[in-house]
Amino acid sequence: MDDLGKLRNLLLKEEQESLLELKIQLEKLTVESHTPQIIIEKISPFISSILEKSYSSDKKLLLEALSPIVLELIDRNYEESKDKVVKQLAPLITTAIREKIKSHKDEVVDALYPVIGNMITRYVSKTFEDMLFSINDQIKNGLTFKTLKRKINAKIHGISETELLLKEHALTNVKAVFFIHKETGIVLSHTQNINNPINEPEMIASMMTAIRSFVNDWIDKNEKHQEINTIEYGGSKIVLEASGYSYLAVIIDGAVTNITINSIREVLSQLVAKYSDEIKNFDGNMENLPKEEFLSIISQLINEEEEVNNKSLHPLVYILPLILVSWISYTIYNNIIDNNLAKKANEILYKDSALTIYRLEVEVKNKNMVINGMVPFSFYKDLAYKDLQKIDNIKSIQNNIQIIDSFDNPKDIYDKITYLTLALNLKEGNRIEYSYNYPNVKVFGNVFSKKEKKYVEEQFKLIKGLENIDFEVGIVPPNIEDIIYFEQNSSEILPNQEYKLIKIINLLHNLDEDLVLEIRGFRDFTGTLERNAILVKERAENIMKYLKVKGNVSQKLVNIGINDIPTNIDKENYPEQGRRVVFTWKK
Amino acid sequence: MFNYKIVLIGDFGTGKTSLIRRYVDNSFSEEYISSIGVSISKKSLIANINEQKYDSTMMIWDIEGQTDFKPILTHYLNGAKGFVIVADLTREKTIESIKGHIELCQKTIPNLPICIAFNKSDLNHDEIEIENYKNIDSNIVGIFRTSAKDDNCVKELFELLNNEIVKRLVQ
Repeated sequence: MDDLGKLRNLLLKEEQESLLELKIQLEKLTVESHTPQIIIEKISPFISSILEKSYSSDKKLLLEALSPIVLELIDRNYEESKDKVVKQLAPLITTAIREKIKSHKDEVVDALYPVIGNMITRYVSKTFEDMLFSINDQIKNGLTFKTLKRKINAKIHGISETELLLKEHALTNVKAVFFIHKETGIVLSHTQNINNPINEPEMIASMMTAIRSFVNDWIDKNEKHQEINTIEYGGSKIVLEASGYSYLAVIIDGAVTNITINSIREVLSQLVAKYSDEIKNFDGNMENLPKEEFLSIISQLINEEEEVNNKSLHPLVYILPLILVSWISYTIYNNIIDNNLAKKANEILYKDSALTIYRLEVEVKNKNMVINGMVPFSFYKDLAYKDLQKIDNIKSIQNNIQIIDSFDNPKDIYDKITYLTLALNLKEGNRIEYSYNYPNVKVFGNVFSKKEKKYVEEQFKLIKGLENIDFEVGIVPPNIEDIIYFEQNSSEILPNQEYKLIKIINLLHNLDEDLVLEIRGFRDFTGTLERNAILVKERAENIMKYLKVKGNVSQKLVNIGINDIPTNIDKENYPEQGRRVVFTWKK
Repeated sequence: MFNYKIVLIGDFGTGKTSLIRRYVDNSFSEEYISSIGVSISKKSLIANINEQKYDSTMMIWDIEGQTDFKPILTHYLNGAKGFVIVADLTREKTIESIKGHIELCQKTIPNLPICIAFNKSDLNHDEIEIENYKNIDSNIVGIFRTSAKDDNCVKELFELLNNEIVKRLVQ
């Protein structure tokens, strides 16, 4: 270190240290000045004091200086954290509105009335439209003289019947309209239906104001911001619709519809929107009021149309012709419907190929169907019924179709009997005959068994068209013509003879069980008398055994040995034919 | 043309209704007083101000008199342009109430013209200096000894009040 340096150190040591310290502090400050966090921490305790001071010393200057910044801050803050801002402001705004309403209720009401009024009007209109639709439905279902008249009127005027209905009850029955100053009860304007002149409107207005005030005072203690809307007396109503400084009192005869209420609101809305200052500042001087304008606005509520006084007629004068016309129309209408149904039904029956050939006819009366005609079988009757069940709008079906076999004429019946007899006689043992005299028949002859007799009788009964069947058929078992031959000096059954025995067994199975069959054995010319006596007996016995054992027949069998030569044989040419067994029924 | 409302205030039985009956053109049934606490009457008048005539219609609200059990229905005072305080000369208590009635009027609508009617002047009563009552309030424009029975000063009272009200409205 040179002298100069030493000297500098010696002389300027304190300054140098201070300088260094300053440098460090400066660096620190530089850093801090770039760190918003630190700045906020340092300044925030003083901001309110600074603002307060500036505000009290020069309010205007401060406002001018701050407002652009504040606005920008608010804008940015709002963009960045909308929800938070809304949350923070909501309670403030609610309180502010509540305070404003408390201190200047009437002003707030007047300011809002046109807006809210319209909003409500729109909502009510929508609701009303829905109601119109439902009423339309109901009207379609009702039919009275009055509705008929209304329907015709609606057609003539080209408007909805419901609207007409409502108009009948809505504006035409407004008797008078009062536009009244709320506090004083002074009539600002009034108008009335020509047919219903009102005396002393000022008195009525004041009294209504008193009543309104009386009721509202009482209600106010219970519910806030509620008002009386309607005063009823007899068949009339006074509808009260209030804004901040004035109200409308509308005297209405009969029912008050939503249309009327809407119109009243609309009128008050117009008055308040256009003349709120004049109404608010009314001091009793009528010259300051736009009387003509008031009158023209409130006159919208009075329907200028004068009701036509109908001369009253005795109800019978129009009821009788009406009933007559209705009855004729009803009958014609029903006839048309019935005719159409009958036409449709007949077409269906004709188009069903199974029924086409039969003459079926359908009659319809008051939608009740009756089917007439004839068919041979119940199947067709049922088919026709089923076909017609498919038709809509019928109350009932009466099926009068007759099942008549009218297609069997005497000749047809004769043919049937002939064919039946022929067929029955094909069976062995049957010999059935008949005598036919339309519409009766006598059946006689023989059949082979009791069972067969019953069967035959049933078959004849099945023939349609016959009235009486005289059935006198006997039972005669058929003769068994077959002869069983034997070898000389033998009673053995020859194999070539067995087919005859099987045939006999089959026959016996079809015959009555209580018959007795005799089996007779014979001999030829050869052999001794003694030997032949044994042979004829054995021959009959063997056959009997065969039938019993092999054929298992049910009839009683009797074997008889006849030691003789049969008489009906050709002794010269075929002497061996004497060795035989024959069958006969025991009588 | 001026249409305005005035209200009659006074204790029960001071003769408010009789005063009105004596004076007005038309009125509603007095039964309304017992049902809703007020009855309305109307009087057509002509005010003469600076030699100019003004038509007016005065709607007079006769409200139910105050008793110990029933306070005045103050909401009926709203919108009035003037008040008539009625006292009964024969009953001191009703005279003592005058001050309270005036205070009520001032509280409801300040600075309206007020007339005081010392009614039933036809009956025997103690002598009182009614003029002293003028000092109670600066808005008192007239004090009358009235009698509905003798038709004493009734017309004068209402005409004075009408003149005063119309005068204020014209100005």
